[in-house]
Amino acid sequence: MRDAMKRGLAGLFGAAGCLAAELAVAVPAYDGKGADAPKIVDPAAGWDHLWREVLIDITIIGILFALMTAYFIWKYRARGPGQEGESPKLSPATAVAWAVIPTFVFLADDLFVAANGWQLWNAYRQVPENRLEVHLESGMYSWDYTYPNGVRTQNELKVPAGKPVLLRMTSRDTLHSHFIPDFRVKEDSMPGRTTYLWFLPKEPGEHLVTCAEYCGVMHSYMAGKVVVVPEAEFNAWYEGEGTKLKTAGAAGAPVPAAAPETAPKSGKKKSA
Amino acid sequence: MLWPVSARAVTEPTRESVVDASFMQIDEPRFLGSRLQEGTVLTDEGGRDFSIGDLRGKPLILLLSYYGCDGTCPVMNAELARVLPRVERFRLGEDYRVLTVSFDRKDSPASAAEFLARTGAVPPDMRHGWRHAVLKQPDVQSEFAGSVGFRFFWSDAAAAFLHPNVLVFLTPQGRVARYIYGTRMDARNIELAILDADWERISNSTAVFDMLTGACFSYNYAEGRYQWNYPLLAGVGSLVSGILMMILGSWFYRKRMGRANA
Amino acid sequence: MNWKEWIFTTDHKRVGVLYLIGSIAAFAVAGIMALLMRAELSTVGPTITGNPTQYNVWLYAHGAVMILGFQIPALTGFFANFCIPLMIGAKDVAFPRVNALSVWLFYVGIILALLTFFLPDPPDVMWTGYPPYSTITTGNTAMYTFTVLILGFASIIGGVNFLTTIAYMRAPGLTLGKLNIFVWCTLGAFVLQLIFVPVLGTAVTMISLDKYLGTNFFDPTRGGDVLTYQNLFWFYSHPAVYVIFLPFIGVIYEIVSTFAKNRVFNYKMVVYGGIGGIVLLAGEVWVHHLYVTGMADWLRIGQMVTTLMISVPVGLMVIGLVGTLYKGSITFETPMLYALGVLFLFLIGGLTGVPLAVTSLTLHLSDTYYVVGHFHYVMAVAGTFSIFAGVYYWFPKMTGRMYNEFWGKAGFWLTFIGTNIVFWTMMDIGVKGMPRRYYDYSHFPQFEGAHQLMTLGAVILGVGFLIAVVNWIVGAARGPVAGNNPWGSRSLEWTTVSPPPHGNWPSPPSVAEDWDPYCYGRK
Repeated sequence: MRDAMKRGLAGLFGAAGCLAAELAVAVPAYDGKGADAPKIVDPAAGWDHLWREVLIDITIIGILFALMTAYFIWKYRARGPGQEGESPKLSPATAVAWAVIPTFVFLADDLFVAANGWQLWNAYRQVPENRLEVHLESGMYSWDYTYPNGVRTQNELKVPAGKPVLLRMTSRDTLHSHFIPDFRVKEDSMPGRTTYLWFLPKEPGEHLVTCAEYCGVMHSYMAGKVVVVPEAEFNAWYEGEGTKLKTAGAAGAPVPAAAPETAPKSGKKKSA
Repeated sequence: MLWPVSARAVTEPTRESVVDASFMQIDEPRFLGSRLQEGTVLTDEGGRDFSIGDLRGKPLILLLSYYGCDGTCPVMNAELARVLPRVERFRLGEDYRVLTVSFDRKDSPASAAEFLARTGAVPPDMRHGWRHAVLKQPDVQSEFAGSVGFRFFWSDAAAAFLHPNVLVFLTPQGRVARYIYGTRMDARNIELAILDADWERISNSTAVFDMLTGACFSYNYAEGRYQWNYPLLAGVGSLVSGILMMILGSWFYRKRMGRANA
Repeated sequence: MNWKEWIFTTDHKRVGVLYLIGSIAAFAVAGIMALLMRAELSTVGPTITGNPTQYNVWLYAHGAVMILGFQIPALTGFFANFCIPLMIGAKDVAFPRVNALSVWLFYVGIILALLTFFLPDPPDVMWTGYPPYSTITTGNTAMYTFTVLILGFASIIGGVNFLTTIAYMRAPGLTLGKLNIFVWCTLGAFVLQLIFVPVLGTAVTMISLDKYLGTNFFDPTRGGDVLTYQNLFWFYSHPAVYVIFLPFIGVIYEIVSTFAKNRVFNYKMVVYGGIGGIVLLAGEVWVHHLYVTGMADWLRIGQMVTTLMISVPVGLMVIGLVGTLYKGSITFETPMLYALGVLFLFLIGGLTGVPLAVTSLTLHLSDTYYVVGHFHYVMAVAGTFSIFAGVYYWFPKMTGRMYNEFWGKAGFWLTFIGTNIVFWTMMDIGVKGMPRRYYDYSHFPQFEGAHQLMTLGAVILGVGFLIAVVNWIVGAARGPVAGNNPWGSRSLEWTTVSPPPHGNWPSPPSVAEDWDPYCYGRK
């Protein structure tokens, strides 16, 4: 009966060995800085990859524990009334081993996950130089985008395919979170702070944008979309809108930039 | 909605004015984080050319002025020159730079030199980290100023430019981190704004003291100055009181146990 | 039985039972909120109410009441009150009157929370109460603040009381090495509670000052900072997860050890490594609630590592539980079924937390149903199952009678199946992008089937809990007499009569040299 426990220990050692091997593979691959490389690392693809990896990792651990528990439950069910358990008293050395070895196994796995997570994190935070930078102001309950040439859109972000897009975000009232499920990214926008996120639209198409931070009564209706169009089409639209804006501006100069399209709906207290 | 009402009148009108002051307010939430064009070429008071990209790597205080000014521009320059030596945490030139740029298309390197000589606003020993420049390319003044949200226009009535009095703090990457308004400056506010602009260095290094200083103060957009971060201090205070309770409790325990055993 | 005896009681067992009744009532109310929400979400678009605020109020009440009115009071109020003096062989707690004060404060707190439904503008700020919304909403934020403050205060004086009790009132011979795991766990939970509750109190107070007195603690235009609130809030509320986790895993340890008739596996590892590790790490992981709020990168990366490290003490505690089964002699009465259910749910919940600890994966998962599913598994349902397990387990001691075993098991299987239907589905659609706190998911019509499945699961879950509660009531009134130690446990609380009289033991107990609460297997 003692060897069942030994087997358990051996299993844990084996798992530690595997993880150490994985770690050895993972660590050299981690270089921390991907910014110098001209190639764009798409975080969304990296997300899918890491998600699968972590899912396999936790599934294995979960099944190991579940099988072990199920086996114990079946194996050590009571055979008769009045029977009592007879687990051996652990010697000090085994007791320490049972604390220290699992600790290192878990730490090894944590380190492995953390190293991979960090690498992906760098992809998420290091924005490629050649990008379209759009300013986003969120408000109850709309997304207001401003392009570099002053063109403004609401709830629809038109971007060219194949070019990284950076959103520089702030909020004019409550907290919001610009969530694009298809690009696996979100970041809160807050009054008084500037945050950013970026994504890489590859193919023309439409992608849903929703609000992921509770922002008020109509939180669930605060949606928009990212419209990815071929680069030429985008340029034509962008230049066209830009020209329209300029002529409008020239006609009525000097006019401060147009007021936001939606009137703020709350904040009575602040203006009072 | 929070912003326009709070941004206080940024000009301090010295004369009767019919100008709508709100026109010159900087729309802060929109421009915080925006970036100056790196390729923009400037010429300084000595006639040397340089580009905005050359100034990367250190925080930059950008002061938009015009050299024919006899109003607030010399005051702003002189006030900044007066206050900067009192910023003890950072040294001009080594840790950060200052750049005065003219938004008047009639200005030239010569008028910049003339401005310095005429007003004596900036002592020569500060010039190693502080340039007075003009844009080399003609007619890009409003575009350049506009890229940080700064607007101005000529008033015939006043025979002067109307413009906000503001210091723009840029990060080492050339992004707008903070605006500090007014002709009265305060060394602590300047220091904290540089700290904010330099956040990337701080957050990537072991500059614990800078980090703590940054966390202890927060910026008041309405009044354009830094103040204590009261909620954080209150939170830390309550945490300390919780820990003290625990320590006191275990101290009493030890004492009583000691007496019981004695 | 005289009602005055109950109202003016200072007996720790009665105080405990009062805590239990109050928290089960809170649980029922919050559970009904959950069912209302599930009904609302059973179709795309408005279903049972056309008013999103109504839904948001339910959501607020569900979260706030479940955590502050049910789990924390049931675990640190009922279990601690009822069991700790019995387990350490004390006549009562150190300050019985303070104890009575804390239970009545708790009642004031939950009544305040229940008034939510009778106010013209009930709070709709979610249990997190983030500004700026909580300071500009027409909902009644003060209600939220007062509820939190009163329940927090009740909990603090309870904490002082129990730490003192455990420190000074142990029976002769009952050394620290012979304390029940549950007592250690509660000790850890109260230490966390005492250190961190003041921070929460300060944060929610400042919210109300901002809203009603015009201060600017969190108003970014006036030098405040919205993120500071979130930091302060989670600085308490993450440790609060362990305030729930520690007692509930302690209850499970007691039950598993008793029904496996086995010593706790590696007692010292569980106490020092598990409980100690959690108490030490609890305060250094709060930023994982703020991974998508633009906190400094070094903080997010640093706390990713500390958050992952939480797996070490938690893993040690799970190993301790599984190890306790090894070479046991296991019987499967209702409390044991619930306990094994907790082990299973906690395994799922804990492991699905690993992706959420990783900053980069959280950029997609944060604020989706995945998070909701995860924390229901790991804390909400696992905690509730432990409370049910514990009530079943100490039921004979509390009432002197026995519940109905068949209905007990039936209730367990219904809740267990319902739980997995609801929360597994939740995690699944969360990964696919379903954001949380949505009154209407018209942008995600593809999830309608999943939502309907969850509504069905929630009904099954509700029926299961209802059966359990009815089973207790019937059992307490009419159940067969149970005897003093129906489970054959060695722990000290089973050595006195059921139900224990005022003062617990006729004469003060003392424990033998070779006794410990888990000394099985010695004939």
